[in-house]
Amino acid sequence: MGSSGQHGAVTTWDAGLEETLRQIVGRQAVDYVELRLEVNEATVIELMGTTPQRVDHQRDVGGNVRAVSGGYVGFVHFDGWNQLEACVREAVQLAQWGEAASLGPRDGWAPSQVVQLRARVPYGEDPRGVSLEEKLSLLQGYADLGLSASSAIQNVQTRYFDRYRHLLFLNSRGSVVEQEKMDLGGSVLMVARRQGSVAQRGVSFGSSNDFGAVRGLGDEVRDAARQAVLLLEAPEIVGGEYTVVVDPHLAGVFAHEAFGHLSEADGQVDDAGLLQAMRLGRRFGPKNLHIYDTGRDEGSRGYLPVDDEGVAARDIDLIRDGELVGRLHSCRTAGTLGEQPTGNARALHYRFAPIVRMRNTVIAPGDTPVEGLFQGIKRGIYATGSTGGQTNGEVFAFRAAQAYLIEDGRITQPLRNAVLTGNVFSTLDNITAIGSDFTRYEGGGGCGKAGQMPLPVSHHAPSLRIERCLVGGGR
Amino acid sequence: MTITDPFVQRLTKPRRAGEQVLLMEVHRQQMSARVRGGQLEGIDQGHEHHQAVRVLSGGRLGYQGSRAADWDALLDGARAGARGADLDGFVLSALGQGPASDASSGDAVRDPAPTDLAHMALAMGRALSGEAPEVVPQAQVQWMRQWTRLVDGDGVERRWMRTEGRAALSGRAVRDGDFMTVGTNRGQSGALPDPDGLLDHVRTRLAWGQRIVSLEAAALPIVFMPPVAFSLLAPLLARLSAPAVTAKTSPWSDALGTRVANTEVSLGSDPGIADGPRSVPWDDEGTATRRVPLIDHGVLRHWILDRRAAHHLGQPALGLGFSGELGSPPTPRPANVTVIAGSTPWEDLLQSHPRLLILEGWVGGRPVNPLRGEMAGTATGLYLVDHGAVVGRVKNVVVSVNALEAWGSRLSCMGDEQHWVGGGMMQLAPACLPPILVQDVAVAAKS
Repeated sequence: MGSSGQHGAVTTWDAGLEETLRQIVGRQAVDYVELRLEVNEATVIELMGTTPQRVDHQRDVGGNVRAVSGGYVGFVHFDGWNQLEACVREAVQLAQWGEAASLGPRDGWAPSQVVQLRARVPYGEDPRGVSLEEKLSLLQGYADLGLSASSAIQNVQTRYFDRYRHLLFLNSRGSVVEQEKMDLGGSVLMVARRQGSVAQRGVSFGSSNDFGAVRGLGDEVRDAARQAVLLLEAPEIVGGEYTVVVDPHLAGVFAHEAFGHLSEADGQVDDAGLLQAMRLGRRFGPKNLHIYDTGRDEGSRGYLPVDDEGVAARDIDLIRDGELVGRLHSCRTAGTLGEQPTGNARALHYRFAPIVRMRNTVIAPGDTPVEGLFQGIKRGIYATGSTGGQTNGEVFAFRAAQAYLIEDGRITQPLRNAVLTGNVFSTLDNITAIGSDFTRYEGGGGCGKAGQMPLPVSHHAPSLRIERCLVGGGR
Repeated sequence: MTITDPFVQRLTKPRRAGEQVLLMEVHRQQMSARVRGGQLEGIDQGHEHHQAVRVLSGGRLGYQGSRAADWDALLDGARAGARGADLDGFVLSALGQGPASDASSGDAVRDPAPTDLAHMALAMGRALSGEAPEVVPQAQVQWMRQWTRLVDGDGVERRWMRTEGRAALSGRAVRDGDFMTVGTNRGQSGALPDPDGLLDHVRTRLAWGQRIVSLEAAALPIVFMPPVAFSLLAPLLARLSAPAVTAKTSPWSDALGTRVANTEVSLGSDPGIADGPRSVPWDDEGTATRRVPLIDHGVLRHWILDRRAAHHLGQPALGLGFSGELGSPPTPRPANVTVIAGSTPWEDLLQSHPRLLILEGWVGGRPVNPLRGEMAGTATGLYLVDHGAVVGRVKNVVVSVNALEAWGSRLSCMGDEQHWVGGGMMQLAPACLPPILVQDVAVAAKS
């Protein structure tokens, strides 16, 4: 058994494989079994300056089995496919041990529809059709642009990856999903140094189907180099509460960190206090706030037509008209809470079981022109871009790539070290204006949870104005 | 020891003049049990096998690794990917210069059964549920056994095995929009951690956090507990490491032998600690490991360089090339990061000032610019101490600190006990360090 095909082309599974797997799954005397096989290929390029530090192409073959008995889960992952049936038996035994070690049956899993489909990547430009030499040359060109932008640019660190996954999923309910996934992205990081002062600024890119995302970044690279040099002289932000205007990129990170993670139902299950705090119908933010999660946005890194439990994607409204209306589910969390699976069960690699994750988290546009967001701000912060964020459910923090002081409604000077923080619940209520400048941002980073990182996600949003945002910094 | 595997032996004979080869093979078995809310969520088990070839071909370095490909394909791929600067005079590995015998720390250790892990996780989760019904407990217990084999182009082979047990316990109580989350994790070679230690830690924090106290914006002394103190090391490690050192973007790229931190600070890479998660006889580049002082009593002694970076700077390779995860090529990384403990007992730390804070967790506590040292994070585990006694939990506070100053002029003293910090998704290396008391830290509070 195996898959066949050429690098750069659509691979297909051997004709007899599905039937063999069906038989293996069908022989197990437990409540539920699923089997996922993968063939993965990845190219990684890293440059320091214009010199390649890492150029490699990796190919993995493996899979996993998940079995459920009395609500208890046994999960086994494996490299290679030589011991498939033994691994299935192991997973079944682990689930049965779990049941025996516990106090009684757990909640069942939500029934998912039986799905039989084949999902191909809707390519723009397939990165596997671009030669390694062309990729290298393109990236070296960006490094050259950065280095030549200013004598203060001491180094440019460039990173590129593309990852192709070809999956075959079967479960004991009769679903069979053959799915291709592509994820590509990277960054060009400019490091400026003048005497003891160091500053950095990067350009990030990503796509789920188009190498074109890597092309035509020259202007952005030159601009980032200029910004890095400007940051060398920028004063540190003074910590305290500010009215903050965030650009679409940072607003998207805000939606992801400040609200998206809280909407993941695996954090809510078995927690009466949190379920009460996240009760559907609760007011959350202004009347015109609409946040949803979607797997159907072709090209975005959060594109996921079918999740890793075989559930087809649909748009999930989380906040609509300022009211909490939904949450993100796997089959397990949906079953426990008596709701429907949402297509948000995702696994980074066959070494991991699917858990509840976001896909593309979107804040719908408002009607305030960008200039209007600044009106009446006596002293505030304009924060753009992001170098990452984090949440624990109640509070969040994200690092702005750039920040500027707003005085009397006008941007006056750049600042460094902007970390925007807050309480999730109160900060959403403090959104007082939503911009009309909706932007699709696709970066090259990813989301981390339970050791699975970086999972491709995206966030599309307009600019936001937030009152009383706590900003970290010196005195 | 010379290898006997004819297939590998054939491949290690260089096929091209001047070509150097290093093969690495890893088998890993792992299992874990997860408990949430007093109930078992699941038991996981995994079998991993990874092979990699590193080659110096035509003076250029190539790497290819896979969970599936055979050695021939890997060697061809590594040759095809060989790029970069011409490494004239570069020696790919030094297996022959390391210890001659196998180090098999895991040989005598018996693996626990998956049910042992489940029972331990259940016992911790249920103990916490029983004592604090309002808390939703989460527990995870993991066990890992890993075999590693390195073979160089001369057929010199080194093998070793290690085992590691890890456990994590946390509890969360959500009440009227207030989240109280406490947790800890432990890991060690050769055995599962003591569950009582984790339970005691969580119980203590739950007791500290029962009362919420408010705080005005201020500059206060803060005890940074080991997990947060380790995040404060990130800017120092960035300044110490290639590529910042080799590219001269590190302000410490010309600072060997000069003072860069408080004289109390001795920071090193130690592969010899008995229960260290990265205590290994060789690094992933085939260099024998040894204890490396990085900063000794405040003075910069060594950088963190892999073989290529060491070659670039004309420095000796010191066993500081490790893969971040299975399948990644080695990069400059310490073995186990250690900060030598100070001499201040825990009680004396708390009584050193009439009023101080203990910071055990923060979100976002990563540097905006790793080389500059400025950091800020929202406190998630912040406790107010009044005349040596913890009086409550502080909320809605951002702590801002320059990490270089925290390990420099603002470092007041260090605790007399080290604790392991490990397991984070973005962590450079496991670390063992004491709590540190830092003066005059900016605290911004929500009004």
